[in-house]
Amino acid sequence: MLTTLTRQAYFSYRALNGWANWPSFVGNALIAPGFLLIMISLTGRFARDEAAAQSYVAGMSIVGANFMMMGSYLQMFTTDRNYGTLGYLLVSRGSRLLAYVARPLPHIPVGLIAIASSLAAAAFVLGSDFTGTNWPVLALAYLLTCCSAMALGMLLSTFCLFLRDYAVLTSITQAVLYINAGVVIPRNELPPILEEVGKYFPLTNGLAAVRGAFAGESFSAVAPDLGLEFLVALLFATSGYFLFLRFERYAIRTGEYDMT
Amino acid sequence: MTEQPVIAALHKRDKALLQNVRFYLIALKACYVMRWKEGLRISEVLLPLGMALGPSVAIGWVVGQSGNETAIAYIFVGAALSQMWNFAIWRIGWQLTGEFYAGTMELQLTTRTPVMLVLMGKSLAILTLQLPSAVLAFTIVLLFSGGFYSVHNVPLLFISVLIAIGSLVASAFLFAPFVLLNGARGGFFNVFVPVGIVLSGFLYPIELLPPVMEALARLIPTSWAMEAVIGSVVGAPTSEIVTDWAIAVALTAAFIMGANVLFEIAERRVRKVGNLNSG
Repeated sequence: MLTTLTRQAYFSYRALNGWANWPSFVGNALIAPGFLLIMISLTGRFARDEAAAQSYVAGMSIVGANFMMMGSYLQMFTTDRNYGTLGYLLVSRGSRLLAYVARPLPHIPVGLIAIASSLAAAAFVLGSDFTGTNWPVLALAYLLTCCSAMALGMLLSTFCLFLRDYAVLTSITQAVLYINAGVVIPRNELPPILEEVGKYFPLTNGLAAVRGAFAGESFSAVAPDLGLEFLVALLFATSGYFLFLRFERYAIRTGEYDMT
Repeated sequence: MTEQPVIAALHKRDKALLQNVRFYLIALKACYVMRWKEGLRISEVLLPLGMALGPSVAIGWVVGQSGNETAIAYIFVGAALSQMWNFAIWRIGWQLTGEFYAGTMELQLTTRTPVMLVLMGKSLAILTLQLPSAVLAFTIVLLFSGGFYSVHNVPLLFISVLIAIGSLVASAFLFAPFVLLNGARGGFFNVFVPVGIVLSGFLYPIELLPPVMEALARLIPTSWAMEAVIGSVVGAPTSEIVTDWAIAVALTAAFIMGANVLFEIAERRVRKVGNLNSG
């Protein structure tokens, strides 16, 4: 099973992902995330002060990685559909769960690379000081946050299969994450309803854990945030899987993909 | 040769030139209208708004909370332009990718109309379609900042903004030949979005960048145009603003000429190897 999982993960990444080439990878994973971070932090430095500039580093490092992961992951489903390979998956006898779980796996390390490049940009361009960071906890928090971002991607991926114009949906979802997760706007300054809803969104609790790790907090201090992030991720991934099964039943019954 | 035939020959050449210009304008208009109509689908209208929403709220909040009047007045303009840049780069890149996938790029290469002209018409339409996202960004910053702040010289600001838009068009267009040579590999061009915003000084003066990045930013016309914007806001001497305009316009012209040369190189290379994925 592990071999099949690895094969599916590798081949889907290589064959369906338009960013699996060096120019796209360097641009999207190594350069763009750092520049996104610099953009918002320097705006903070200009409009406010140095403290504001530094306070956006944690949140923007996740935004950059999320942008990279979602961009490369979701396009695989459009490619799957456009190249006509989706039909083969739907008529195969292979495990759907395996296929569903395998696809996002290669994107998680890529997200971590994007985060590393963002932090490097913060250190070199903004002069961010990471002394006092609890690195093992930070690594764990980032890993879980990347998995959580992919869980959201897994839910959105089925929409990419049955909606031709899925980009509007994904862009609005990204905007909601940007606003609700506490990336730039502290969550306690959001309207109460948005603050409450934000708790049940991927990235929100992971970002809180990341901030805690930067402040040098121990694992036990950030464990509640990590636990909540894990549960939210599980909820999103499971919902996505059931939505995918529903889509599959519809496609097999009607012989078409479009549900709208 | 007597004088009369020379003048007649010159007239003939001028006429041919004028005729060509006329044909080019017709082609430019046709490409613009075609892309404009494609962009009127509801999803095409909503997408830039969705993409602009998150960053605009973040930027609006950062600047709105600051109470820094200069920054607010500057970012009113910069946030709108950065959103135009954001989506324009993304769309122009995908435009090329789409043409490669659909196989329509080959048809464009076989026509007598220069590819640059075709893409310029389409790029201008894409930029026009970004106006709602620019208005959205402007409105969001306005909502967060709670009102307009004093601008020292409104006419100078207006001209600076026009020059900034022209610079943005030229800068957005310069990268297109690279995408063409790269076979418009999906995603390659995404990197130009944040890099362009960071180096263009849409959201802050470029003096805040580290020296190496500032030196690079000085080569981009939008950074000079944005310097004129901030000069108009804070009341810099008119001569300084005019100098910024002059440099921005000169660099814009250089970018357009550069794009033309790069397009010719790209077109020649593609024709020579007979393969669009020649990058």
